[in-house]
Amino acid sequence: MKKPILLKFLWVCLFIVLWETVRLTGNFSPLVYPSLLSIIKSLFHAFSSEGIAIQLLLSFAVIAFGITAGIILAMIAVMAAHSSAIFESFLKFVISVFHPLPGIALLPVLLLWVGTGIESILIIVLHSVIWPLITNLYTGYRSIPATYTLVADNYSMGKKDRFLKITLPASLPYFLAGSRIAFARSWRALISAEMLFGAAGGKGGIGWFLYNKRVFMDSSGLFAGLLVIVVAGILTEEVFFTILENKTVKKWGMSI
Amino acid sequence: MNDYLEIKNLYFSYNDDNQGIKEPRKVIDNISFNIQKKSLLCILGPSGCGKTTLLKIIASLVPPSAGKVLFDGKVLKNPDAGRILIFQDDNQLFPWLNVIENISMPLRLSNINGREKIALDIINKVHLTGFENYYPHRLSGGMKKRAGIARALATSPDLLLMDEPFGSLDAQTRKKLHKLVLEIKEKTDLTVIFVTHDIHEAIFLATDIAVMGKSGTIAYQTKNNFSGISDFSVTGFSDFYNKLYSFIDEP
Amino acid sequence: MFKQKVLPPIIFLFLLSGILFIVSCSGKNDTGDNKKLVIAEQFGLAYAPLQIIRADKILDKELPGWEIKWEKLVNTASIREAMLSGNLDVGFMAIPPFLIGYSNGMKWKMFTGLSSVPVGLVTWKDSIKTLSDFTDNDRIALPQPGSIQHMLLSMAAEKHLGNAGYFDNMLITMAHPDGMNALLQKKDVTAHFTSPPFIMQELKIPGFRLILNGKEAAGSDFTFAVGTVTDSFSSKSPEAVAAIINAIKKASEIIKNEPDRSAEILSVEYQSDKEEILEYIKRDDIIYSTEINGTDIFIDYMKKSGYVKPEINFTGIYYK
Repeated sequence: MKKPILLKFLWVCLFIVLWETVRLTGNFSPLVYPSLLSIIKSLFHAFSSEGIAIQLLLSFAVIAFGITAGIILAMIAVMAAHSSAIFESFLKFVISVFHPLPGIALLPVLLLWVGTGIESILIIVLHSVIWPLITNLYTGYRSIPATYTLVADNYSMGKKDRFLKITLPASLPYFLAGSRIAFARSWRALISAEMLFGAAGGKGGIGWFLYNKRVFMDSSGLFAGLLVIVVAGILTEEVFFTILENKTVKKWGMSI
Repeated sequence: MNDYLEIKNLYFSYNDDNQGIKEPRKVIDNISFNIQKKSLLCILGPSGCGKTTLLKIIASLVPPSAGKVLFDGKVLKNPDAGRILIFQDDNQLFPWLNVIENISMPLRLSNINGREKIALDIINKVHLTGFENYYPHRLSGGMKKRAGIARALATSPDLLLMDEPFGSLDAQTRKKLHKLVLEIKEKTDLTVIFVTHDIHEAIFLATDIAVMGKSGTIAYQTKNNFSGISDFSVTGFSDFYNKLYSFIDEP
Repeated sequence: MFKQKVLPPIIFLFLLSGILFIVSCSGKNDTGDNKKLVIAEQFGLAYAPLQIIRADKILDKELPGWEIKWEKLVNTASIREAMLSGNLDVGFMAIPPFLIGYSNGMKWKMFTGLSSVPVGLVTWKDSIKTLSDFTDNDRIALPQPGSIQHMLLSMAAEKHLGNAGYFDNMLITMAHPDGMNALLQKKDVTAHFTSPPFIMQELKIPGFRLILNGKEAAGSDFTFAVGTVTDSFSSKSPEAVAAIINAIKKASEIIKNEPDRSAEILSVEYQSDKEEILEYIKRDDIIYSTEINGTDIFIDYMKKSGYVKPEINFTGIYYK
């Protein structure tokens, strides 16, 4: 167990050494290639007096809202698709149209239709989470073994019990896989959206922080912001989701 | 003795969709038999002869096309939670629940008190003590079957319909589970219908044997409480075996 | 076995570093030696002389034997970044973005003025009569933080409301055309801080009013667009810098003396109505000149408000 962590630490060290070596060759202006020390200073400054933590929380709140709303909508869509072949065909069509569309590409249209408020950003986030969630939940729903249904029949389980005690846990592996994709997509889309139109709803998230660093030419602040984004992404994708999987599907031997 | 379960002139056909034209396909063709309480009826038959459908009709999960099933003198309309259970070879344990949670699940569904004690008791009965907190994927095939049987027994059902329950196990493990089934039958009032295509298994376990043919009829049935292998001499056994075999193998 | 395990990663790393090396070196423009000049142009009436220079090939005549390349970049930030990375020699922008770059150590100078134009804050909302009438639900669109529009708005906020950051949570960053579109929808964007021709077009619509103009916010006249040049280019090719100044002078004369032909050229460039452009370039509040005015107003304000580092000495910002 310890070895991979040690190895990862080694990669980080290697990266630090490489970065500083390239910088010390002196070929680059500090505006283009700031020193690690100045980046770390900016990082502390960002947390102590620029409220980057709040901006990060704001971004995460938007994503959490988007994913929650997306899950509820996706579940309804999956159940509707299961009970109606016409709706299923419609849903497949809609997914094939919208799934490949990057959320940020919708921005110009949203600006015209919805305006510049937080609503537009929420729609972009929702767009980037809902299609992978539906696809995965539907696969998960269909992969539930018939024998579980027989067990439910044996004990005359009601609809609510079937949903909570069988459908939900049995499709959890797909649900988690879908959520992982949903997070990855929405995290990228959100940061792009924030960088493009800034302080929606007055505050602006981590993307807005980056944008400000860019226009005010604070390079070390820019890299500090990037570092925060990378770490937040790793914490969510590698730590949060991995722990969640270890506590559930991995422990149950259900990983897909 | 009263007949505990009466099957009367049962018919069942599927509507096959043959290139858009619905064609009825007969699976069960006028089957009748009776079994008594505490007996173990083995139904022998080739694959695809409608044995699973028959079990589902008995459990009243599927309505018959014609005929009726009387259980303790009454026609069952709805599946009676926990009284008649189907046990299949497919792993029915929920992977997200550990052994004791899986066993307690039906008890929790019907709000029975003292679930833990009941569950531990049954775990002991199926010789799984010590594995209470294991998740199914960490159990061997035989242990999974034991846990499955334990869960089926949790609600003390009256009738257990076992649908080729041990088909996927190796011979050794299967033998052990046969012993377990007999042990449980000894200790409880359980009545069992046991579907299999293994003649040895049927002769070893059954108090009655019925052979279902491909055409969905009962081709042969033992008369009143044939009582196990002990009645047969070696020649008697092989004669009986060949007789059963000839019915299964009918063209 | 050893070869199979070790060789692929080594090949991968070798190729990767090779690609990175090539990409990072291609950024450097070997200017000076081969007489090549890369200029970023921006669009809009404030930059009109640039379009005239390009259309009439004025610079090509001033710099015979030079290769002149015009780049179109999305916004001021990207022009600045391109100059920083050495892809661009000369760029045009407002004074505040130049000061921000200078204050952060960018090696560049202002070498010419280009234009003074009216800028201001336009609104359609009846309840907004003065700056103090904005509420938390209002949104003000402007190009980007640190832009001249942002600085002027902050100056006015400080002057009239005592708080430079008063509007910071109401801002929305949008390029001028997007900002105008958003304003015309009369939805959440209630005001737009903009410049010609958008400011004129918006004010022509009934009910749209100017509630703050740039001159009033700054307290005096100021140059809107200036020319900037990287030190590496200006030290190697002072003759090219002089030629650009000359070209701007000539183009300004052309706009003044041949308004009709200039409007013709610009209407093609901007794909808009010739008569409208003619009307605008004849206005006496749109002035094309190589003079730079009002730099100190911005330096003082931006030092005081922390947009540039207060300890920076700005005496070296002019090219001489």
